[in-house]
Amino acid sequence: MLFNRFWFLTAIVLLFKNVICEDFVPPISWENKEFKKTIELETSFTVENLELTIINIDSQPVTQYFLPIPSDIVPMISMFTAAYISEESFIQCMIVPGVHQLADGTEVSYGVIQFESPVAPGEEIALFAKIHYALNGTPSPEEIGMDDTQSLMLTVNRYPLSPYVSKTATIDIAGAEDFIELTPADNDNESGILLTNQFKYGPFHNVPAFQVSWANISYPVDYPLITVTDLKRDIWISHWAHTAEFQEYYEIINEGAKLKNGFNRVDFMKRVQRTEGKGGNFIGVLGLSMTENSTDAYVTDKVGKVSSVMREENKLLVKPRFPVFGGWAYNFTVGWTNTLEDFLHNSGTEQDSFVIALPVLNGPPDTIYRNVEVSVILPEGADVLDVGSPLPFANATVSREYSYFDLADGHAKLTFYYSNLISEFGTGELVVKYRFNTSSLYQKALYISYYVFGGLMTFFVLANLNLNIK
Amino acid sequence: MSEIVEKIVVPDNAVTANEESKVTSGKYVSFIQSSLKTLIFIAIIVASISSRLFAVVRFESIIHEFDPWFNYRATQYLVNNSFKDFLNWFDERTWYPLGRVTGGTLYPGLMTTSAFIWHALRKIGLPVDIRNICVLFAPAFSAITAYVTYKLTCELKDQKAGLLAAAFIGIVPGYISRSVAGSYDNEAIAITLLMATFMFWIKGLKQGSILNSSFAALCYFYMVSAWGGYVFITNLIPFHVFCLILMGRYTAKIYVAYNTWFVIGTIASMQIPFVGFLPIKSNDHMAALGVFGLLQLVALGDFVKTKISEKKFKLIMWVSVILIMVIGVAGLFALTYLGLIAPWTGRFYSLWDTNYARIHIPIIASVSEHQPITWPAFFLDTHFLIWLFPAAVFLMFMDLKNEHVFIIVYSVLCSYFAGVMVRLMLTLTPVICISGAVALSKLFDIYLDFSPIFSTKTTGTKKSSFMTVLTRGLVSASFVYYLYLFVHHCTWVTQSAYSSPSVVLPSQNRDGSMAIIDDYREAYYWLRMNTDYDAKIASWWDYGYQIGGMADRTTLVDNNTWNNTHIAIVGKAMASPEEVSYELLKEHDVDYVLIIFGGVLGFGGDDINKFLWMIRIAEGIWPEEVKERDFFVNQGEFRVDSQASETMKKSLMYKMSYNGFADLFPNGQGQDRVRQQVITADDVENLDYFDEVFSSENWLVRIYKLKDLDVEGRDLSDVAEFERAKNTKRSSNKKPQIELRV
Repeated sequence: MLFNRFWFLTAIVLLFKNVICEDFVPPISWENKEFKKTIELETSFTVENLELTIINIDSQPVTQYFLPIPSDIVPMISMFTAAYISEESFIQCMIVPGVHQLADGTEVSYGVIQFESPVAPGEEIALFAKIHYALNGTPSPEEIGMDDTQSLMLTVNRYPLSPYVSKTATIDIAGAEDFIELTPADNDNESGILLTNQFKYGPFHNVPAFQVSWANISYPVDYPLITVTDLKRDIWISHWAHTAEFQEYYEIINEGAKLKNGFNRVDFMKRVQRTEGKGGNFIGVLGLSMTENSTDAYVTDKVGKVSSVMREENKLLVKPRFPVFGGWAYNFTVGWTNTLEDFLHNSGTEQDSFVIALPVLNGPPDTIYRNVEVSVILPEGADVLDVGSPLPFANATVSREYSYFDLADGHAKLTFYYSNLISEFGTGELVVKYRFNTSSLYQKALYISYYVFGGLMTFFVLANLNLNIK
Repeated sequence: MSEIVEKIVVPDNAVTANEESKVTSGKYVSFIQSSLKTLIFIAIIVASISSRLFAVVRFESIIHEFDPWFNYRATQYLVNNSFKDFLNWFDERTWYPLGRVTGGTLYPGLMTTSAFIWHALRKIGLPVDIRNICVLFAPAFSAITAYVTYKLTCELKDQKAGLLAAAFIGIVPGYISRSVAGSYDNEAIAITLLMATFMFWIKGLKQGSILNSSFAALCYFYMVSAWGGYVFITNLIPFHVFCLILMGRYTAKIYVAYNTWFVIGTIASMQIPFVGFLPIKSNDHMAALGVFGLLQLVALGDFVKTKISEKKFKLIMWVSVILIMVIGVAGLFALTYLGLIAPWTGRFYSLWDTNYARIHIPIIASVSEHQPITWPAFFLDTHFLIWLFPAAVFLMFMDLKNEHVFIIVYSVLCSYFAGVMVRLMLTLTPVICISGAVALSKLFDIYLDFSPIFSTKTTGTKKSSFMTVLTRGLVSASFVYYLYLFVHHCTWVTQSAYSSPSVVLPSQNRDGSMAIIDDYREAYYWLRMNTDYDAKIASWWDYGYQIGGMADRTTLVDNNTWNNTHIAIVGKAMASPEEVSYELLKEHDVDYVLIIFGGVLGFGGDDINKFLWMIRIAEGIWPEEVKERDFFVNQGEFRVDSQASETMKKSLMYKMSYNGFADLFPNGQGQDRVRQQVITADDVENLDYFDEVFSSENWLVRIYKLKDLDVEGRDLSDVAEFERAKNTKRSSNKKPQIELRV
């Protein structure tokens, strides 16, 4: 699907600033002919799909369509994209400053879909918007026993959250085996309908603007909610060794329900036996994906080697030192090596310049990343010419890094800082163009020999000093 | 050998043609000799380093055991802070709530050296991780030890013996036991310095050289900064000098060497904060001071002797000797009585009376390395050198030069001390190697000489010449075979006995491949990741350093057993009923209690087996509350099953160890694989004041959390009783925090 393939090309830098604005209500230029929202909960992050058919009811051409989003979760948006259904082309999206307080006190911010050309009055457009939240439901109850099932809770508006009137609207929640509506509805009409693996509100007709009725829905989740709070990913490029060496430091936390009575080894052993080791709401094994054809994989943490590691093709199955239950944390370092040819391309136009394309993330599937620092460390003597990131980044820096026998200027280290990523976006490629010529390649060897020679000469001179006083 | 070379190389002014050819051939020989020597040294270095890497190859690059974890942590502190900060380091994360003046109570030599290496390597573009420096520290220094031992043995006999000694010390298990990769302990550097000090001492003594004696003093200072065992040198060198004086071998050379060493060495050693004024206060150091004074008197006497008649001199001598002895002994008593010099330490008494510790200081006796050595251990650690050793000492008597007296004195003293305390085997090993090398080299000097075959002059009959060669061949062959066995034995012992990090335990999978049991790190890492940074952990002191190093949490007691009472507190908590323990632990702000339980795995070194020591140490402080007798059943047996004594069953240690143990077994008959006893669920009473928060995969480490005080102010056992009676689950009605709303 086009949407999946090219989402990163159209992604726009989202600027999240705490701007205190006056109450902002967008002009009522649109009418939602059809508003269909699907919330997907299969993964530990949340995806909101909107299928909209909108009509310009204004008297003049309009370029912006506003989409309210509760302000508190706006910083957790990982990606916000939109596309025309008919033309399969993307529309620019962004989050704008400006908030509005709803009747029940909820504060909303706005996402804006910005059409390239103004939409004429009366024109009808079918579009598709997708919001990835680096966020999952809250454990409910917060503490459970070793054998209890973990449930998460989601708060959802039964009606479409829109500054415009909606003619027909449905809200679908999908991706869990069961749903329980914790907040009773005001009337029967409002309460949701439980279908197979789905929970549905609506269809509603002629819903006024900013109509809200929040419902807490709980759903069972029998997998751990893996959140990487910090990831430091270093990729060392070496032209001498023809390798790209990956080293990643993860700090992970399981955001699931905490243990009520502490960890009991007997209960745990019984549980593993009962479920035949299929896992559950704890991280028993982390399946880290590595780059293809990688070699020399290793896993360590701050007290040494993690020996419970198994390799399965491009996956590294890491058993953390202890099963990571809800609220528990773990950290580790993983590394592997690839040949440079897997990523490196000779830039056709210029001599001595290279283009390297590296995946932004590897790591476990179905994961939320809070702070990510991806560094590409170029060979000594290389200069950065150009960079390209598939994902919007918060900051990017170039610094120097000194490693073994870096006796001259050290390596150029290019670092990208991201926040609130989800594992799905990891396949995007970070592209770095750099200049590295043959003389730089030999410079290092020359420097080393120069120093060794200097050392030997010093030794020779010192050994021949005659301090005899006779 | 060098003498021969010199003879050949040094040419006369008038060189004849014949002599010229001799010179060239001599040069040729000396070149071959020196290249062979270099080659042998490279081989020795490779052998000594590589045999110490078994631990890294079989396991990983990790710090071993207990004390090294502290040294590693201190090194990390030094690397991250300035040297001044390091010397003033007050560590509030150990011995809670007392803390430890770490900077003033450690020997900084080891850490300073590693930090120096770390900085130096950085300077030349090698940013090696400090952990790897620490892990590989001991193997690297063992290579230096081999070289220094070579130099020392050269002073005793010749280069041939030196090379043998270097090879022996390089691979001998007695030294490897404390210097495998990862065994980052003070001894790793101390043995090198011990050998260096002795080498310079003997050189200085032989030549009366101020330079060499100063070097000896500097090495001694370095040694003082690195290991508490420096006291051994402090006593051995004066003892050597004393013996020489008694033997009537006083010369100006001895005077120069000893005074230089003593003055510089003592003043330098006082610069170490932990040592301070000990060299002039502690009785351990009195011998050195006494010999220093004696030497002055002897020198004076020697001078007087040259000026007056022999008859008068004898009179003066007897009078002064008696006077000095009276004044000396009286002075010693007076100073000790006035408290100006420290009383003899317990560890020192236990050197003389092996039963002293067991009776008076259980904490010293509880350390396995303070136990007397067993006979097989001598053979295990030194193999055939152990029987060459007395032979060598005898040979030294035959050839009684000053330096030989030193080796004899060293051998006698150290053999005794090693017999008292296992860990002192380490200081005995070098002298065994040196003596062994001297003996073997003397043997080879004669028996490896096959020149009679080539000799043109037939002095005896052909038959006797053949027999000589045959005997020599046989003796040489058997000793070469012993050498081969020695190498084989060393490799085997190193591999099987001394290369286990003890942090991870080796075991076998069903298919015979090696698996490791990593429970310690599992539990320590759980603590590190999932408890507050300020959490206080109570555990037996053995695990204190590891918890500090791996879990990075505050401990109550650790392997620096400086405060017996504090250790007794933990012992009492473990030995008391849980309501008493709870109160005691709460008073000390403890959050978690960590115990080691080997019953599931069959690991003998667990806390139940150490429990008697805990009880004894606690009993030493609270004889009314903890009684060792109560933990035994009537037959005087130490049982843990249904017949265990009531006190035992009520003790916190017992409850924590066996909590939930029986549930692990299908029929509820818990089989303790260490003590071979059956424990059922009925034997183990409820644990009301503590919650199990973590147990490692093989149950080796169990961590319990102290329950919070009851909000309604009830006793926690009543609360637990109430809950059990109710036996219903209370669901939480708390409204969860709303986060995701879309």
